[in-house]
Amino acid sequence: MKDAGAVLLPSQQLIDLSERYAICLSGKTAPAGYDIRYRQFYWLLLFDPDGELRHACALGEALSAGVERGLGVADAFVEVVDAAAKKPSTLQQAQRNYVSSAGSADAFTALREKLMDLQRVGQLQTADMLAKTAAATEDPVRSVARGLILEADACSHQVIAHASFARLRDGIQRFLSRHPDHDEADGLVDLLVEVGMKYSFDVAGRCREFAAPWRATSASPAQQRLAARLVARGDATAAASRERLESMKPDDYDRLRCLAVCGEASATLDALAATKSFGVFRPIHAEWRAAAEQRLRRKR
Amino acid sequence: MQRRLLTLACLPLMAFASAQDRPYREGDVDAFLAAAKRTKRPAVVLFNFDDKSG
Repeated sequence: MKDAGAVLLPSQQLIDLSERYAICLSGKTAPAGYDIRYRQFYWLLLFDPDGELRHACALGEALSAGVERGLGVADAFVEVVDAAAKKPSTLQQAQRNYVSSAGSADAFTALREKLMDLQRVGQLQTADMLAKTAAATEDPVRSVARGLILEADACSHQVIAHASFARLRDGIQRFLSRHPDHDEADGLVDLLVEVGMKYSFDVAGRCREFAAPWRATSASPAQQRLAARLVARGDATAAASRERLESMKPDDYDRLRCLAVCGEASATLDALAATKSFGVFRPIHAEWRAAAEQRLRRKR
Repeated sequence: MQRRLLTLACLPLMAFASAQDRPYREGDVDAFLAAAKRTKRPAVVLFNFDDKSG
């Protein structure tokens, strides 16, 4: 794909295309509000004249399809852009439709379909939109839950960011405290553990901390049920990581995360010492180091 | 000597002309999108592309 790109920039096709479109090579910066997963290469985003996102796609895959049909890279690129421009709606139109339908199930389905067509680009800003416009919908609580589900999906597929995981955990915990008997509550407990705590140190312990207020004798039956579910999920996650560790070699991918998830303080510190932290993992590794050191201090 | 000095003096201008001739902008994607919206032009953003990779 890198070689394919080299064919693209000096091409006459690109010059011709610039008559119809403003074109920007954004380097490593994605447009604000449109997250692209860390270390993903070569994406195309097409905005309409009102600045609304009409399409987004991984360019390598899209160009390969054209090249396989015998097109040159530059012609395949023009074809991708023209096809993107024909998409029937923008992300912002789908968002407006959701609000104008007062948050109907059909409009939410259409919004999710649009996000899937965009390969999830714009998912985090849509999660924000759902939370901010919840009061204007017929079922504001459901709208907030939908926002959290999209936020979890964005964290799971696109955004590896320490702050995003913390925000997701806070959001789900707040929702579950207020609406423990909501029909999305069980699913949100699962997302709290699977996504919100994917990069947490000692997941079983974290789940017990989160569940503590809901396990109190004064808590409602719904909260106590959620607490039991959360603790069980945390224990199962730690057990699964422990099982994976048994068959892992010292330098296997994901071993460090599994050690952290299990709360293995000494082994986590040893593995961190042998690992170079970079990019989005720096704050995550810093948290693991601090938590592991604290645990060892307490043991002494 | 004079010719060499003239060439050196012209280099920034040549670079500027070359940048102007490019059919694309580079960097500051948010400013680029704001300008495209102001002028009502549809816009294509190529993420992870720059002059070298492209």
